[in-house]
Amino acid sequence: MDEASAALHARLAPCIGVTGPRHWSARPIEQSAIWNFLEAVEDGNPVYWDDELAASTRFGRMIAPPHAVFALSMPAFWLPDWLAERQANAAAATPPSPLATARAILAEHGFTTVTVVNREEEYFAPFGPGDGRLSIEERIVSVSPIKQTKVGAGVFYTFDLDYRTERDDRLVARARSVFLLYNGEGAAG
Amino acid sequence: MNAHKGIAWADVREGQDLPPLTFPVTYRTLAMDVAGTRDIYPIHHDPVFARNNGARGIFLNTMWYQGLIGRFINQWGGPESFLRKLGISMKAHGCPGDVLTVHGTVTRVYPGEGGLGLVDIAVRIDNQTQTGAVIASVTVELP
Repeated sequence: MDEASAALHARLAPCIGVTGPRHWSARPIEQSAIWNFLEAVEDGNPVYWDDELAASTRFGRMIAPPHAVFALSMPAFWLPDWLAERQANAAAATPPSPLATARAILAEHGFTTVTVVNREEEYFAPFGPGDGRLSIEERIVSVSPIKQTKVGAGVFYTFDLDYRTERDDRLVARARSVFLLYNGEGAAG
Repeated sequence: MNAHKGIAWADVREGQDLPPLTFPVTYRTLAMDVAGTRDIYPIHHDPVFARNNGARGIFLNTMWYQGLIGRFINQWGGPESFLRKLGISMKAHGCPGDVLTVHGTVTRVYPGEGGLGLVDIAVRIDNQTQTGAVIASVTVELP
């Protein structure tokens, strides 16, 4: 490993392999959010759309597309000031997330542009409206040495997310992602 | 559920191809992607930002491809099918003007839990110029 990568890795080491604090999707698993997701790809599977049809399947109720866990746990675009402040206070009272700490260190190197290289998800059980919010626990698996890619210098950053439902605390999905975090210097124009 | 019946596990064979699915990508698709996945990272809606960061233009996010592949598999497997695994690798960006075609081939058929069957499927999404713009591997559970 080159000197710059070794120095970077020494700083990142405390963040790797540590499971971060549990955090929650901004909103509960809701039908309308599921339908917005399905509209984008024109998915008409009745177990996602119709109570009666869904009740007649082995699932016994309407479920969410399990592959929507990522979309269903996206953060809020905007919050009123008083709510944002409440959340900031709650965040300040919990230990720093290893992902947030690592991303801040990588940002110091200019590695702020994100490309998703790969994502592998495993779904353990159906979930759907009525299961409350999704909780997410995160763990960095590895960070590559600094590499020159065609879009700029950057690192490949691998992390796991565990998703549990608020109701019954069920582990419903686990995702492993590889991101390229880069500085965009290779960009044309 | 007769109107929406999918394939039974007992009828699936290794090497079998799924019916291909074609999806033309427009700016409307990109807008629906942002609305449906709540992803406001500018690379998916701001063409100047996308080009300044090395892309041809704004491009579809991973969550959209997850949705498209889920649709492709469930359309074949029917409403009783349930995805157990979805691994996805992005090889090229999907931009407005592209025409995507999803292909799938059964690679393994084996028993699962509770009397259900499992099927592994190799998925490939081509665009008009590139074979394998997205590569995915899926495990689906079928009754």
